[in-house]
Amino acid sequence: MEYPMRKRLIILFVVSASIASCFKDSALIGIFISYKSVNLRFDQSMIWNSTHPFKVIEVPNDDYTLLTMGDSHVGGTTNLDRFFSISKTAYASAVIMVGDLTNGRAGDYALFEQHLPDQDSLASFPIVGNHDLNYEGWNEFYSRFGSSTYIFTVKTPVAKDLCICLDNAGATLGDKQLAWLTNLLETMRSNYRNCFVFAHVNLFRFRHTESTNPPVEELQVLMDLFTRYHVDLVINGHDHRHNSAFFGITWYIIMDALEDGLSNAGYLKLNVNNGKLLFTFEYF
Amino acid sequence: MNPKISLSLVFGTLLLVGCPDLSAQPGINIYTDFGENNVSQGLFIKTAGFASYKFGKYLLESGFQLDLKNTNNTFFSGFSMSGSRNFKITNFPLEITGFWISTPFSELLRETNWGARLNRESNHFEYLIGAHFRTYAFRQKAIREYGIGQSASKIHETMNLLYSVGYQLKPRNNSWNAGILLTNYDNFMIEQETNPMLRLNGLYKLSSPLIIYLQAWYKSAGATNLAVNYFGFFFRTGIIWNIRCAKD
Repeated sequence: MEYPMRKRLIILFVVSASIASCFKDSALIGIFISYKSVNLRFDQSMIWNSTHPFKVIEVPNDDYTLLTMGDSHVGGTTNLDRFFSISKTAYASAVIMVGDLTNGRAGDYALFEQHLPDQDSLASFPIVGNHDLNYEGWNEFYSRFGSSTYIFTVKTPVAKDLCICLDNAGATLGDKQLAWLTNLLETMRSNYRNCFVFAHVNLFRFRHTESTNPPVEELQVLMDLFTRYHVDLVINGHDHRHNSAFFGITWYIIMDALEDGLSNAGYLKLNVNNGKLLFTFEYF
Repeated sequence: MNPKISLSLVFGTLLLVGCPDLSAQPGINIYTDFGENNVSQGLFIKTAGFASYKFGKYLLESGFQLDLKNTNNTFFSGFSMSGSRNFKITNFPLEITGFWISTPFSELLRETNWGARLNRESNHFEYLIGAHFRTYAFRQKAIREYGIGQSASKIHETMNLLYSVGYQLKPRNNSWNAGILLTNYDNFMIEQETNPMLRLNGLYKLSSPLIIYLQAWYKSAGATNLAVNYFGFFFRTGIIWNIRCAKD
């Protein structure tokens, strides 16, 4: 009985290796090896940040709106155009795009960039998502948008709010980015009124999906960190279906996908009025 | 759970090792983990102990975990209890286990898991399937310090699948063995169903009741996002003492 078992294992190994080799030019290679590790992406983001100062959005009164979307998965641009149009008519102070903006191909990135309003008409802040990494997509992201780990601030006449954008496209921040985040919160959080964190991969699993969330150890550290430093909102995409939970002193929000053709396609509207937060899930 | 109560329960199970029933088989499993991961800021060291008591088809087990070196400022970092029963379905031996695990992983928060698993071990293969429910909750200190309301003090995740599939080179009764296992389940850490861990293991039976073992665990993140990344690894070394009360 032993020999047939070993034979079966050998056959299984050969078949697996053959299948894996077929994935060489496919997005599926990401199951086995990373295109660019999160630490490498973080290093590149820091290089970008060293020559591109963090932006400050100045608003005329203490009542402003941010619009946030994720998972547009361009290809299709119908909902993307509607989102940008609504952002302008709603006088959004900025839009934050939390990853899976494309499917990773160079053509998708080119199309996305074509539809992105210029920064003078609408300040926009993109973050990389896991689909954006497919087909060596990080190179496209970095060459077009630069850093995926950065901050920006919204300055009103009476206060400043801190917005932290993170790269957790690979379902982990990596040790370097986590150290950066920890240091940022330790040294800067107290200078700001509200603190919002944006990243692609959602932290909690409220429903079954085949996609990955950060390992439990990382989630444990982040929950502790967000509580200690009074992070007000954590906004993610990735799950394609909205959810929200107020846990401790932090809202954990998952947005619907913006992707064309989805019945629940939508985005998040965040209004900050005299420091108070009001968010709503909006649909087309 | 209060560490004092937890340790009392573990100690209570250890008392059963005194063999009140000559047909029973108590056991002790003690191990140490050392490794590093993306959130450990260098080396972490944990140690854990389990006391078990097997009588007939039943097994009771409780265990605890201590963080000897970590960044989370906790020392007592885990407590577990489980009960198992062996049974057969048409000569197919299986073991069903119900378990409860509490892990106070920081000064502010704890995690609780409860669930059930079904496992089968053959001479070379082992399989496990199960489900559990995870709850994160703030500890009393944090609730007071941060003014957290009752409704915001807990968060429940959806049911999570447990699984293991492994292969051992030698039959189970061999004096040494080595194998490989793919799982999302460890004694005090249950990863999401989409975060599998890889374990290589080796063991050597020093004598009939004493087994020493060494394991190497590898963890990745993001595999099913098609964006896999290294997350961490650790080594585990331990000893199992299966105490025989009755003469064979």
